[in-house]
Amino acid sequence: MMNVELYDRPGPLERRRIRLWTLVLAIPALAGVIWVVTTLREQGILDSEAWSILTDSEVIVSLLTGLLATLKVAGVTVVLSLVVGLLLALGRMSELRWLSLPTRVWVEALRGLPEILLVFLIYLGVPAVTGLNISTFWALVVGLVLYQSASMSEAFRAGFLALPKGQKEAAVALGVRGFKTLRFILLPQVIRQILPNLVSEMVRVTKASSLGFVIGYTELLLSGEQAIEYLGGQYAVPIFAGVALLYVIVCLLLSWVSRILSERLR
Amino acid sequence: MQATNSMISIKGVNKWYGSFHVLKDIDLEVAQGEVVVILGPSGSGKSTLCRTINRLEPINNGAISIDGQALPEESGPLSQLRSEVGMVFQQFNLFAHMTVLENVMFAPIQVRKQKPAAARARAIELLDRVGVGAQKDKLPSQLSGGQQQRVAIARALAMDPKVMLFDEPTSSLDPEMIKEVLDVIVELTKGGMTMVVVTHEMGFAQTAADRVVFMAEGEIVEVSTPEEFFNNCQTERAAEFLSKVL
Amino acid sequence: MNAIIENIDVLLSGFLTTLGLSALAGFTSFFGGLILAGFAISNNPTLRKISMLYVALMQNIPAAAHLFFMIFILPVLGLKAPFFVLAIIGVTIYFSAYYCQAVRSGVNAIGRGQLEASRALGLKNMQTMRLVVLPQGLRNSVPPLINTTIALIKVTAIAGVFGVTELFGTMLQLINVNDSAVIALMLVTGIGYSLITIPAALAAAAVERKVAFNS
Repeated sequence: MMNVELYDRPGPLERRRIRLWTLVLAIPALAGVIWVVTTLREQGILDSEAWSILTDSEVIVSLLTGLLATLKVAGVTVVLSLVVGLLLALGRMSELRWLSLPTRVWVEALRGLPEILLVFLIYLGVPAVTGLNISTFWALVVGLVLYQSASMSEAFRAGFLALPKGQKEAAVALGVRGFKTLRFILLPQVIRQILPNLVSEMVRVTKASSLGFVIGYTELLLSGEQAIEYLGGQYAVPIFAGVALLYVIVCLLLSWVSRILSERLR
Repeated sequence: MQATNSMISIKGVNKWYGSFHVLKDIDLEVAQGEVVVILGPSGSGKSTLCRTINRLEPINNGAISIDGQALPEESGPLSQLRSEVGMVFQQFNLFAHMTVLENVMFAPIQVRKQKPAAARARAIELLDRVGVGAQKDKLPSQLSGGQQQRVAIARALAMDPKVMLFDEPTSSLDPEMIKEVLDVIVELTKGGMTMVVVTHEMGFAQTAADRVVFMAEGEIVEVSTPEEFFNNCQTERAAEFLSKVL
Repeated sequence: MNAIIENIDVLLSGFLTTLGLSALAGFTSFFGGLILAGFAISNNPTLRKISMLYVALMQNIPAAAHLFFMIFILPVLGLKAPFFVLAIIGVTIYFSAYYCQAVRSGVNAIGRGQLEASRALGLKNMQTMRLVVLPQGLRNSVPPLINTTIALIKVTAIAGVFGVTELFGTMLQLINVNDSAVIALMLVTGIGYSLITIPAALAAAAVERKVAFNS
């Protein structure tokens, strides 16, 4: 996990000393674990009856439905952010100042704002200004896209800047121009370069989609909350644990894919 | 060479990277005051061999000792031994967060517990000797490659090592800087320092080496004097190598 | 506009609460992150694994879920504390992982040659750590640490929907009673956050250019 070897390979004596330290530290750690477990048991949280709720088919179905909604938001958000982010990046790199300057201000301003504010801006602002209602799904997606497209445009820009200058010059020399240079020569290379970034962006968006909870879009976190509300407080911990675990599993899988991709592309 | 005044002794050393056998049954004795130059095509294991001498690369089996003392397994005594073995790297590896002078004073103060004033005086003397005294307050990144490498040599010398190891000291230098670094190394050979130099500089090997070690594919193929090696080498692989580089 | 002028003192107090919440949570998270990073770069494989496990678990649970746990679930377990304190704990559990990663990335950016040079000169492991790895690694870590802090400030806004009257929570309360001033209130709130985050982002970029020394 560390790229650099911070220590010399330990000799037999040092290995023994390290093991001894581990044992010494394990004693208070073990005491802590025992204390936590007994406290939890006294509170009745470790009752197997409460935890068996996680095998209840209705609970499973509702959590998985929530997870599906989470992934739907994340997927749509990433795709839209990709398109908008690319346009923003091109705008910012444009030689036309009336285009590049406002895009730059837009990107910098949005990146400084909390995502939850942007989600609420759409959720409450759109009806307030236009009088039209917006679904919680789209309020969440558009709010997240506002933020994520700005941060993705920076990834695109870094990708373009990292391309060797010769690529563009070669294209011009071959008589390929403007849009075609972009479409057939530069973009494929940039996408390839930032592909691992895009997958890890998916992790960020998956987590950010939990903001659906606060505007009432039933994604994973909200479906967990609803299950707790319906079943009662004694099931709060097991159900929350299930929700948290699902987030961890999905995000670890995505990070793993991202790592594999970046190794493949190197 | 007589075994009695052997400074570096390498016996039956093998090393694998996974299934790749980088060093195959290496035996080599370097006498006190001797200058041994290791030549060979890239990937022959010559750099790895140099780095095993102070255990920057651990070995799988065999034995290495310096001045009669086997390389310790524990890091404490190993550090002690390493402090007596100077090393110069291909990439200079000057400490990026210290000035040139601080780089040279660093180990004498931290390892040898010298007084800062004494370490400083000695560092300035060494920097002058390698011709970069005027740069002493700059950061390494402000120096040319040749200057950085000369500082690195001064840094190693500041520990008054028994042995100096040079791991391709000129390989990442621009051609016009190679000479200024080689001149410093040649100067050292005249002072009776025990040295192991891994290099691609054939001219240096011809003039400065007491012995030439030729390696290929992880093996020592030929050991001889420079005259013999360059005029009358004994093996086909050495002849092939020489025909490419000369 | 009237809604803003009439409530400027409330908004200001929300802004100050955001600053206080961010400062306290930032401090505890940074401290937690340093401990985790210490584990991650220790020579004890068990400590390294504990640090890795913590980061893998806590970093992948969304901030909203952390705050949900602190504010909705802990009371069920009989642990009661003010929302402000619970929010600090929730943010700390989450962001310690990020601060740890920031320090680790700084240490990872150190060239292998720096370590080899230190070892070859005869410095012991702990000396190499203290005199070569940490000075350079912490310096490398400054830009990611600032960026992590910016992310933390933005995440504290989520505490606003969990009953903490920081800037965002204040805005929500004001919107409830002034539904004609939704956009104006959001704009002011946005400016409030930008006042902190944009200068910090500029600082991070400036530091990044400055520490970009290469060996």
